[in-house]
Amino acid sequence: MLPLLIYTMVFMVLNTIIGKSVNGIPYSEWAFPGCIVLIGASALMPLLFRDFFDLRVHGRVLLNLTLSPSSKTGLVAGILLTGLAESLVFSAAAGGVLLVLINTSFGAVDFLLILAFAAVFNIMLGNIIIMLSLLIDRVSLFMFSILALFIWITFGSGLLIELGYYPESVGAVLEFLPTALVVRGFHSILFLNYLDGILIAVPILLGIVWTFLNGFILKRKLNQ
Amino acid sequence: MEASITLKKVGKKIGDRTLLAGLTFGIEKGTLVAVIGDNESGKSTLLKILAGLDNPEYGSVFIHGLDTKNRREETRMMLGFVPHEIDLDPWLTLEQNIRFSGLLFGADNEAISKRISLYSRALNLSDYLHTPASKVSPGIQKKTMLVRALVHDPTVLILDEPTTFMDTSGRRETWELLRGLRKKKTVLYVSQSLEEVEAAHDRIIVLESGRVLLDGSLDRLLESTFEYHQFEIEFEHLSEELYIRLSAVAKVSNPSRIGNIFHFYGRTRQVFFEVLKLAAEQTMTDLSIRKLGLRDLLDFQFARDGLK
Repeated sequence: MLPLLIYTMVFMVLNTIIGKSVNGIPYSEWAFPGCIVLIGASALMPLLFRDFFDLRVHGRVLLNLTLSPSSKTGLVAGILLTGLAESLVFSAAAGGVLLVLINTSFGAVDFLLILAFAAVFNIMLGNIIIMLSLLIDRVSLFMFSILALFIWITFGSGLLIELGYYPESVGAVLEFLPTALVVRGFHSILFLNYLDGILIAVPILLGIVWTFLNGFILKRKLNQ
Repeated sequence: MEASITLKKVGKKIGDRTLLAGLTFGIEKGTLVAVIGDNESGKSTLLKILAGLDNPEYGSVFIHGLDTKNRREETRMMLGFVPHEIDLDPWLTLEQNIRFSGLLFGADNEAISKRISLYSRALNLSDYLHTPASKVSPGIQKKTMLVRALVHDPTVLILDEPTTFMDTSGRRETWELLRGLRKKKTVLYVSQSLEEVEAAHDRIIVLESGRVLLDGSLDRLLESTFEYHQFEIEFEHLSEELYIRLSAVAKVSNPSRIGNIFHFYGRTRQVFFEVLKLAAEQTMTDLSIRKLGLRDLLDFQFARDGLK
C-alpha cells in the first residue's frame, strides 16, 4: 500500500512539477532512494513508538525489561536494531514494488547501497524517536512532535526536495543537520560515484553516541 | 541461617514525605515472607527497591551478600519480580512473553522450555500459552507474570500482590506453587488478603509509615494480643449513662460505641458476663465475641497503642 501511495504522491506529482534535480538527474531517479528511506522510516516509527512510548507509559512492559541484567544502552540498542531490521525488510519489499512501477537505472549493488542508506538514516531517526518517546509522557504532545519530525525529515533533509531549492540561508543551515549529511553522503555515492567518508562516518558516530545518550535518558527516566 | 535479602538503613523520601525510614532487617534463605500494611505504608516502595526498579536515597540492599548498587548485574540475575499491575506485552503470546524474558536473562532455550512446561502445568496455564496476552483474563496474565519471573530460575522472588485478579482455583494453584518453592527460593510478597497471608507465611512484616511496626511469625505476632477477645453488644437503646457504667467495669479495655453498639476488648470471657449482668435490664439485639487476629494487628491504633 505504502509504495503505491508514494508512487502516486511523489512520482506522479512531484516528478511533473520538479522534473529534474539541480544536477540534471531525472526526478524519479533522484527521489527513488529517498522514498525507500521514507518507507523504512514509516515502518520504524510505530515500532519504536510502541516499545518506548506506548509500552512504557501505558503497558509498563519497558519497566519489566529494565529488570534484566542488560544495560540500558544495550536495551535501547537492541530494540533499535530489531526495529531497524524490520524497517529494512519493509524498505526492500517496497523498493521491489517501486522498481516495477518506475523506470530507473539502479542495479543490485545500487539497491544494496540504498538499503545501507536507509539503515544509516534510520539509526539517526530512530534515536530521535526514542529520545522523544522517553522524554514525552503525553500522547498529544508526542503525536505533535512526531508529525513535526516527519515533516522535517520528509522536506528538510533532502530526501524528496533537494536542499538547493530552499533559499540559500535556509539551505545552508539544513544541509549540515545530521539527517541531511547522510542524504548528501549517499546521493554523492549513488549519483556522482564519489564517497565522502566524513558525510557517512559522522552520522554513524553520532548515531552510536545518541544510543548511549538514550540509554542514559532511560536510566534517568526510570530512576534506576 | 544464611540471609538471602539484607537491608541496612534503607531510606526513601519524596519531598517531605518519608516512604521508607531507615529499614534494617534480613530475610533468611528459603523462607516465605509476607509484607503487610495500610496504603502508603511503604510496601510497594520496599518491593520496588528490592527488585531494582527504584533506588534508595540512603542505605544498602544486599542479595545473597552482594550489594545491589555495586553488583547490579549479578543481583538482578538472582531476582524474579512480579509487579502489581499487568505488564505483559499485549501483542505477544503468553509463551513469547515468558520466553523473551528468559532470553533477556541469558537462560538457554531448552531450560526455558522446561520451566515454562513445569510452571504452566502447576498453574494450569498450558492451554493459554499460545494465546496473545491481550486475549486472556487478567488472572491468567498474572499467572503468566509469575512464570515469567521464574523462567530464569532466580533464587529470590519478589511478588506484589501475586494473586490479584485470580479466581479461587487460580489463587489455590498459585499458593500451592509458592509453598512448593519454599526452602528452594526465598519468597517475599505483599498482599492485601490477610486470609492468604495467615495461610502462607514463615514470617510477617507489618509496615507502617515506612517503619517496621511488627515482625515475626503469626503466632508470635498474635502473642502481642495477649489472648484478648473483641466483644460487641448491640442494644435496642444504649444510653450515655449505661455506656459509662459498662465502660467502668474492671478488665474492660478500649471501650467504644458506634450508635447502639457497645464495643470493647477483654482478656477473659468472664468480663463479658460481668458486662452482660450489668446490662441485663436493657434489651440486647445482638452479641459477638471474636479472638483477635492479624486484621486487628493491622489496625493502626491498636497496633501502635496496644490495649490500655
